[in-house]
Amino acid sequence: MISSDILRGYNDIIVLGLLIGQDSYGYNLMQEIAVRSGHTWQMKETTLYSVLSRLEKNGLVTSYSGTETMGRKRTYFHITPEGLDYYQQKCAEWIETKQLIDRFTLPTLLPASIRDESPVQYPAEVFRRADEKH
Amino acid sequence: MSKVTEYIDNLFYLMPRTDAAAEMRQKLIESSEDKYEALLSWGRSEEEALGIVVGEFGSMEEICEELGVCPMGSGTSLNPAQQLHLEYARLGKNFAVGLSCGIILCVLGLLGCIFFSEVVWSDLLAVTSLFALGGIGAVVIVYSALSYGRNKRLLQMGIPLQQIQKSDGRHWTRKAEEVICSLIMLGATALFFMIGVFGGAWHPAWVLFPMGGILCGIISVILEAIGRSN
Repeated sequence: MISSDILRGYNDIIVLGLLIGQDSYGYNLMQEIAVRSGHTWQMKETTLYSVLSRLEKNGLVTSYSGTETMGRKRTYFHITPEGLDYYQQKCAEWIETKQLIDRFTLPTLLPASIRDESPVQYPAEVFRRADEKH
Repeated sequence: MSKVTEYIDNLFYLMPRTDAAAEMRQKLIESSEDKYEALLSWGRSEEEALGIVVGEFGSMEEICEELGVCPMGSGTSLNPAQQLHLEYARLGKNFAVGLSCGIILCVLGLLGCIFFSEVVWSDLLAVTSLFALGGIGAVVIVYSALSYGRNKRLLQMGIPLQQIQKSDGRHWTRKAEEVICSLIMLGATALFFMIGVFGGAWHPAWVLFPMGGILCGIISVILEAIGRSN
């Protein structure tokens, strides 16, 4: 179970990432999130719209209203060049964060030199499980 | 109006009527309606679909935060929207407590009346019990109903009650007016029955009601003058 607190800082990249390449509207974004997460996670409606509203306020996305073939009015969202910059920054930040946390959760990923110098004696069990995964 | 729109309208009921809030409401309705219709087209019943939409909707706190009606980190003091919600809840509770106390008092008065007349054989005690307990019960009911009605209107207009109590010096006079007038009318009714039952003088006793009304009018004028001079 992924806690929403941990994801809180990354809701922005989830939404911005979906807007790259094509404009989209609320329900479509939620559907896309469900599909990409393999239906293991669903962003709440209120979360999505508070993220979109914040991004719009900061000039990272713009919105316009359009109509689909069904005739219903829909608000579409479009990512701005600033939004794209921000997305790339956040992605780089995530990769750094991930690498840092990996060093604490997956000791096998540490270079052998650091691993051997480490005063912590990792139980053999940890390495076996991690090795099986990779 | 579909059930989904109705649900979201209810959530926005106590929100300040700003453009940003209206826009947010509109967007939330759009996507929730999309989801609702998709669920219906996949063969879900209306109730099931509404349940799913509501379940996956999220929390209004996020929206409040985003709209800035409840800024985060503003210390321990509650923001206006939360305060309204709290006061609304407290108001309902107070009304329920007042109403049940009043009803219990009335029932006790009636029981006392039956007890004193059937067991103790004392008409005086029976009537006293009925009017004293029943009277207090009625005052409690009338007072809690009046204040509930008025405070609910204020809250629906988005005005927190505490603010009124602080800024409006006339508040206590209005309160006093309500209490005094209900007591006067209640006393008039009690006296009317007593004179009628014990003196058999129903006919001139009805004068008490118009007199009570006039007295109420005089008192309200006086209290209003006091409130203004403050």
